[in-house]
Amino acid sequence: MRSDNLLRRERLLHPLTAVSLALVILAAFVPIFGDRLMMNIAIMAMIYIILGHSWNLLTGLAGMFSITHALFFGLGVYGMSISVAKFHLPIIAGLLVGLLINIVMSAIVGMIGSKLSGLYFVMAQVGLSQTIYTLSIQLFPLTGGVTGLSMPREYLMDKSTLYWIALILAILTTLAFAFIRKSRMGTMFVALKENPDLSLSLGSNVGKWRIMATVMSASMASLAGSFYALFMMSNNPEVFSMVISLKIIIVVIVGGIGSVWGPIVGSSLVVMDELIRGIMPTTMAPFSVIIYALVLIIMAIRHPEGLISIGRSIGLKLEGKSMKKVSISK
Amino acid sequence: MFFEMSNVTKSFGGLVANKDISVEIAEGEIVGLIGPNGAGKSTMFKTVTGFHIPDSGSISFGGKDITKYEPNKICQVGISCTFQKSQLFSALTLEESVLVGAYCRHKRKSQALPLAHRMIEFVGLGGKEEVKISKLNMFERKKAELAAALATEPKLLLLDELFAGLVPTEVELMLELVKKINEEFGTALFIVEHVLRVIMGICTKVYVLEYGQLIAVGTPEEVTSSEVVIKAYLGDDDFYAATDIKS
Amino acid sequence: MGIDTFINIILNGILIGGVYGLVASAFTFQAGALQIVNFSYGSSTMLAMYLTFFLIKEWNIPIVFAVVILFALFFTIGWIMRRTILNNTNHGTQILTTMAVELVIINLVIIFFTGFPRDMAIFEKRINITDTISVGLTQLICFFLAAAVLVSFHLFLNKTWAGMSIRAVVQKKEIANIMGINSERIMDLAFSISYLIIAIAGIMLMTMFQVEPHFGNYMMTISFLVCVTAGIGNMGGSFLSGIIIGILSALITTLLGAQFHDPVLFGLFVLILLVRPNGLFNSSKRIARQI
Ligand SMILES: Nc1ncnc2c1ncn2[C@@H]1O[C@H](COP(=O)(O)OP(=O)(O)O)[C@@H](O)[C@H]1O
Ligand SMILES: [Mg+2]
Repeated sequence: MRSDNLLRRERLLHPLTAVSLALVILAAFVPIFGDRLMMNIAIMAMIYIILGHSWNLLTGLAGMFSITHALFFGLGVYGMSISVAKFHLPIIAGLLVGLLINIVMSAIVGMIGSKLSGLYFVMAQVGLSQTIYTLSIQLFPLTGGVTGLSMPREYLMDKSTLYWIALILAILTTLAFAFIRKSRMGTMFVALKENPDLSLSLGSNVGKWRIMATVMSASMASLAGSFYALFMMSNNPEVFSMVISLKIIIVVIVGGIGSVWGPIVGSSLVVMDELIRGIMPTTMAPFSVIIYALVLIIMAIRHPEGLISIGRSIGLKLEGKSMKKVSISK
Repeated sequence: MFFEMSNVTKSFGGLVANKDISVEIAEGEIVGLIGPNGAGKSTMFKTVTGFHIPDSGSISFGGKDITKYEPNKICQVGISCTFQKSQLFSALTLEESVLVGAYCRHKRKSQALPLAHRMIEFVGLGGKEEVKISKLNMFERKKAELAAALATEPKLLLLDELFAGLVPTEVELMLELVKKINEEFGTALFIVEHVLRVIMGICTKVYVLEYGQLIAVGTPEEVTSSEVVIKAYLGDDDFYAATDIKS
Repeated sequence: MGIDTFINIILNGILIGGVYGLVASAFTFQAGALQIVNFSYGSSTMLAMYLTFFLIKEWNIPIVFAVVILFALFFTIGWIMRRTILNNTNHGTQILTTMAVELVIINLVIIFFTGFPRDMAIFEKRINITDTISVGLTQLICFFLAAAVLVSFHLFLNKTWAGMSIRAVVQKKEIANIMGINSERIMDLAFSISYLIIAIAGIMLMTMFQVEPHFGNYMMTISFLVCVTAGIGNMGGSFLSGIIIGILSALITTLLGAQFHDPVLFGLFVLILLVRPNGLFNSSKRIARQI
């Protein structure tokens, strides 16, 4: 029985390792054989892989339901574009500014998440995200308002350079995720998702780990955002939109929540989406969003009691509002 | 005193689950807590471990006042527990589950891992490190819980109905294990148990709780022959069955 | 700022706040009583606004018929949503799927009605209380209508057989089942009825605001704010806190400027959540599950 299990795991591991190697090799060929469109699509897929890992870390591992994940992504975008377009700082400074803003924001979100859970945490995220979204429009002199800022031409990078950066970032975040999952942090994250009470009683500072998970996750999303700013050479408030948040979630759920392969497998959805969008006229863009939404709805209808057990492990119940002093044996 | 609860009261709304409880435990001592269902035994344990904050009274441990400590802090000062309703990380492997406890003492995985392995060996689950907790059977799960609690290196361990649901041979094995914990690590034990055999066999002192109040305290012999206790248990077949076995 | 202007602002805030209260009451009913978390809530309101505009302004359908059409449509939408995606008890799934529905609604609106902002352009007749203090007529009507809707909903829940069945199912599903109530049907009914409230709120909002496809996000956050201030599940309280939020909203706009309105209000929301997650009126422990 046990050896059976082990065998199956070995078999499961091997094809996946092979596939990932193949993917990396394939990815290396894109700039050689691919045209600009291909590279754009590949870059978008990479961005969603990074964002997927970021969401997977927070929700898949630590069990904190991040519903407005685009908030962290968008702050990364704005950190980069404002630093570069407004203050003409070097790219690395833009990156750091984005990270810094994100650390502050994610500490706030993490603090909320360690005090509130369930519906209240989700609502707080929506509130925060709306606040930042409206600020990004209102603070026109800084952010460029609805139209956003465009970055100076000297920051323009070659497509294949961008591609390589994206690939490296995607590989790095994949490795980081795999590493974190096996480290102390990862064990603590999964433990607090699985059973916060038991974690507490085993001496784990659940509140601290929740904040930590949020900060780590936001930092990853920030990287993706800062890179996206360089890729698009501009920013606009839509980077905070629900559409991006939902896309991130769908990518991970389709690929498998909690697993390092999830975002990689799920990013095929982004490739498909971008391909279809490349063919369709731009006026049809709303349809693409509708298709994403329908994918999610169909999945929910087929697995009503938890999209890949997501809801159950997150324990989204109104009652589970304060994380401490929930009764253990009812 | 090593561990001391003085005049602890805890109520839920109108229901007084613990009233004016005072308990003393010496270092390395094995103390029992018995009482009918709903007497407030689990509540008492959860108050000690920081999941409930008492309405009044105080709890001290090793000379420190720990009344208002958070559960994780309580664990760090050296009090650990197993819960009445089995609490597990079903998605983690046995090794990882015990590691969570071990990380309480060691920040680095290289140090925590040997400790975790030692505890897994200790409870007799060696070789099952990579098995998911959800794949373990009832007895193994109980031992896994124990291993995780032990990995936090407690000086006082609270066991809430650890023996419930075990078949007699397993009770025997578990009893040996519990004794071994006390002998090898010098851990003081505070045990809630319905199987009186257990209490009789290993405890040096027993507290009896009824309707949230302590009604008796003494050696197992004193307590079981006490009028009040027998009255409290009247009609409880469990009690007579258990005492019969003993005599 | 003179005292008159101040009173005007407060009055204006109270009147709009009543409608906020109505909007939020449906959400609080869904999330608190029915235990269904509906994140397509804001965009449903937005859809009701667009439909009101198009039925009345563009397609020139008499108001009475327009309202009937809207009610029938929203009752159906509610019913379908409950039967397809919301017949589970998992809040995580509910949130994700209803967010997806939100995107569908927003994009369908963009496809069919374009993203162009719409406005009823009602000429607001003002009723003078004194020379300098006045209130808008439609606003006044909406306020009292909102109160009337809430009162009649309350009566419906407490006095009619259907309403009492809903309460029975909400409180003890198993017992209701034993007593011969089909609890699934009753939940469908209750959810559909909450969509009628959304339709009514949409009509009222259309008389006051300009609508664009993302207006729902704004309304949703306002609803959250109102619900959390009152405590989720507290319908009467939501009317009251709607009024408080309305006043606050009006004050922020005049004192700080319109550009600070959303950030301050939404920031306040997060703050309230952190400090008093059970609502301002409720004692800390009691989680509202009353209707
Ligand atoms: N979190 C809680 N909220 C309300 N009442 C509780 C809670 N926990 C326990 N109780 C009540 O306190 C009493 C004592 O329960 P418990 O400590 O579990 O008893 P025991 O473990 O001795 O069987 C019971 O009546 C129980 O219903
Ligand atoms: Mg108990």
